Amino acid sequence: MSKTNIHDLTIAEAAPLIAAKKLSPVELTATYLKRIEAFDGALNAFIKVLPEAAMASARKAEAAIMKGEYKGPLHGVPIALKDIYNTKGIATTGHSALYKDHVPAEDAVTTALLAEAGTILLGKLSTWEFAIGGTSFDLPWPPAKNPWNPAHDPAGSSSGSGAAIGASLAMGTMGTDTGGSIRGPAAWCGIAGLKPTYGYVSRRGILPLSFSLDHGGPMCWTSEDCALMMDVLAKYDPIDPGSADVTKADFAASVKKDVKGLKIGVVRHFFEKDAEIDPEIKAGIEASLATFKDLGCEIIDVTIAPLSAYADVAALISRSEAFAFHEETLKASPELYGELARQRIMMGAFIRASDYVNALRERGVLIAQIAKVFETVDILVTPTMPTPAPKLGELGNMLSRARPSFTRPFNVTGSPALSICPGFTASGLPLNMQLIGRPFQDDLVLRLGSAFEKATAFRDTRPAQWAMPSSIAAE
Amino acid sequence: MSAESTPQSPITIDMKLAEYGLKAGPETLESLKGAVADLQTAAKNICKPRSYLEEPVHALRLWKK
Amino acid sequence: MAEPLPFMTITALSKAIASKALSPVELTQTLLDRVDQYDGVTNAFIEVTAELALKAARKAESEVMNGLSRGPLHGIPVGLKDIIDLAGYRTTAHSHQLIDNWVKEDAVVTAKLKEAGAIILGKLSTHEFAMGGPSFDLPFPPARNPWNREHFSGGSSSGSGAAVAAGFMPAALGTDTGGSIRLPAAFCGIVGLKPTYGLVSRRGVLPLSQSLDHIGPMTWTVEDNALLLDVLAGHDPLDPASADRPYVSASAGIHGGVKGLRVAYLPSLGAEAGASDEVMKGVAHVAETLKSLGAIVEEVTLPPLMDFASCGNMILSSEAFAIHEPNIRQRPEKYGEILRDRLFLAGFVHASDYVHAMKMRGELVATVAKVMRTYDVIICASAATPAPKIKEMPKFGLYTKPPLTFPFNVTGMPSLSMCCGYSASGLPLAVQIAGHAFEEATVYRVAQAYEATTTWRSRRPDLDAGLKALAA
Repeated sequence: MSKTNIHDLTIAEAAPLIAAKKLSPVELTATYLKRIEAFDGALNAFIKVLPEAAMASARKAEAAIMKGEYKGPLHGVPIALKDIYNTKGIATTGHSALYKDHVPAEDAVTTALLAEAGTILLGKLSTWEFAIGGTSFDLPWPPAKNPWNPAHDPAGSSSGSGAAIGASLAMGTMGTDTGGSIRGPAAWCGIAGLKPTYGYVSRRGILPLSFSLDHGGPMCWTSEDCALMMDVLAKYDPIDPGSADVTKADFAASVKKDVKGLKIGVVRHFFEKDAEIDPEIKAGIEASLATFKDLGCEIIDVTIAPLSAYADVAALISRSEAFAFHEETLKASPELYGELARQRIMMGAFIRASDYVNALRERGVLIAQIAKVFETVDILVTPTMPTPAPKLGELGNMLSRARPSFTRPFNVTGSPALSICPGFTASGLPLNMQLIGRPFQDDLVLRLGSAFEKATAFRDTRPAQWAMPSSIAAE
Repeated sequence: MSAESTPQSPITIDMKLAEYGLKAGPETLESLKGAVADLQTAAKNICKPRSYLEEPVHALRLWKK
Repeated sequence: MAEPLPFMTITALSKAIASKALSPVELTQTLLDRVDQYDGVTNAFIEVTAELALKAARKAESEVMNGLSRGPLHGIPVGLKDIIDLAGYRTTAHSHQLIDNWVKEDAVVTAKLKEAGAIILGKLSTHEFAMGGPSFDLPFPPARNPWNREHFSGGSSSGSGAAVAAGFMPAALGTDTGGSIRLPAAFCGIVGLKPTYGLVSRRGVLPLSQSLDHIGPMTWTVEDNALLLDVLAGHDPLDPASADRPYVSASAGIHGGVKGLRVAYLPSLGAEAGASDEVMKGVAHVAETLKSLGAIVEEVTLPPLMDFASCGNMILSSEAFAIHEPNIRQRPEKYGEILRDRLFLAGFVHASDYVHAMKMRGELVATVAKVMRTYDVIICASAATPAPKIKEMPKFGLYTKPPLTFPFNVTGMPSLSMCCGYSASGLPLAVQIAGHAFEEATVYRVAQAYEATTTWRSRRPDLDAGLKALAA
């Protein structure tokens, strides 16, 4: 192995070492805690770090592994959770003054699944307030910053989750995605982030934003690592009404398979007609298509509904549902919300029931339409974000009709969608690309992402400013 | 009641907020203007005759395949 | 033949037809004559499709003569609520809005009936768009109760209920969003089933509220009702709500009896709605009868009717307004007053109210499912009173006096209304029997067992008295 630092290992690289007792979860965890202590002051990725608890579970994991009770690829792996995932006995704040002292009595289903798989919880991560209000400077905690250049924005709402992976402050994190909140930060922080198929991962115990568009999903340095996380996360939950009772793919095996012969549809009208994109992002997409071709994929252009059609539906649904959830507290304690969350949630008060009903119907039409396109291709490709990361807080009006998002369409359709890093700008910020698949073919999307990452060298570059040697003792 | 007095008639943003018992400062009100206009455009765009073939997506399901 | 043709059951008619003792043409002509003579009493029809019916009857006759059998509905005349498409005819929804709405294709249910050999006798009165009525400012008069034409026949499948009770046809189709099959069934003293949500395709039928709408059969007897359901049920991949699961015949085990069946008796529903003594006693008598037949009957309670009604009304109003919004903006004058006002009211519902209603619906479905874990059916009143006077119907009754049928639209469970006696004033009383999703067979079994012990089916409305009242 060419890597010399522990924190440069991916989960897929570390897991066999841990299994072979060559890499100690205690050492691994201590390394990450040290890095968080050294660097998070400049990044604000964490709202709360849990050093004692993390070390205790690392020792527990190590003892279990030494006894031969190895649980699988996540055993002993340090992770962190966006602070809207409920953690039993640990405050889950939603990055909001309103939930400052909100201590859940139960873990979220996903929190528990990750714990059972033997992961080590390093802490809770920054988010936009309630996953909707950001980038904000009027909250009890400062916003997270971009790991490639802290003067820049990490995107939201899973900002801390993106920043933590980008700066190697955790091996895997959990984000949530209602309109792009996993994929946006994955794009701007230069990592891999998967919004799974709607219903694949339970949302029970995650603070809701818009229940019919909310998804929980993994964010890691590589697509392969996201696949290893999905093997643990994808599980039917009869109590989450959105959860789907389907047979889970074998992600670890599927992600390693060949991508030869895959048909890739490029949704060119998204970025050539429906919205403007930065030329460097476009060049990154074109170069990536050439790589896919080299890998034996077939590339064709496809047409789906225009971005604005998805934007209309997503705006009406998400604002209605978010308002319904926050209605009571927003009336009672508006001052406990930051300005941006307050504004964005209040928009729901202007939507009539019939508009929401129509949006739900139009959603059905859009789902049927994309299903038809997926009869001819296996994967769709679009940019994730139209630009590289802007300066911190300079997002403009992210959610206006004038600037339709490339990520929201796939919250509307529920399709699995992955953001990966296909290179860097001249100024050293990550480029981005989004891969979208058929429902419950998340493994295929991750397979293509992983094949791309292995065929290119972009995963070899980590941001330079968070250097701190941590030698791999075992090798 | 005439068509002009149907619920679609323009209602000002502060009236609408007051109806909900919501309080908003001048900054919020100002920024809501554009956003609300976007929502109304969105609502208009998707308002069309629909049959059973376009059922709201999370309608009741009592069966499993 | 013991009974005159108009009063014979489908079971008896189809035997007579199959044995060539009765010609479908003779049957159809007899019923057409009867409609001609008496429909002034009930206004059940918007359009009598005599030509189409006689043509179909002749075809059925020749098929039977040639030994081709299409099953128990072969040669049986039926009617369609006028929101159900019949190729070559108008679907008016009883409204000026659709007065020229000529349709080219049959609804799925219409096609299924035709395929089964049934004869379409006509299009039947409804509330305007199944929502606004009884109204007197529409292109057609409202249907009236054949038992007493001063009284309401129930809505919105008003014509369907009246036509079956009047002996114009042994069966009709209705639709049910809050009780629109079961209320006319109750007020007209017939059997009406709202099947499980998703069992019967709604393609080709005008929607009122997509997530609450159901289509179902209305007949004089329980057995006849099951015969129709067997024809109507089935998966339709083009109706997104349609259930993709195998259908088990509902009529096959209908005489199985109720021994050992567990019956949840729900008197509280009627009590909450201030049901009359006659209604409460009628339903109690059903409970006792079932017990005496070997069922285990226990009293239960469900969440308050108002919870179901609030939830259902929010959903219904929102979805109905979404459908009618373009028309209510552009040509409000073409609606009758009642529907127009109901739609205006619906326009005030907020998106978050609908979101809350859907969440509440999920909770109500779960709560009822929990109660039903230990029971096979629920029995309760279908309506708080017998049919009220047609002039005394409130405009916003859905809110102030929610129908007792509404809970089962919210939960999507199958629910049947049938006659359980008559009031002192001679109007029918009714009981409601609801079951587990997709277990219509059990509901029918219970209904059949009860019906077999009663003499209610031997009484019919006196249409000659109706004619006299009309003349006066």
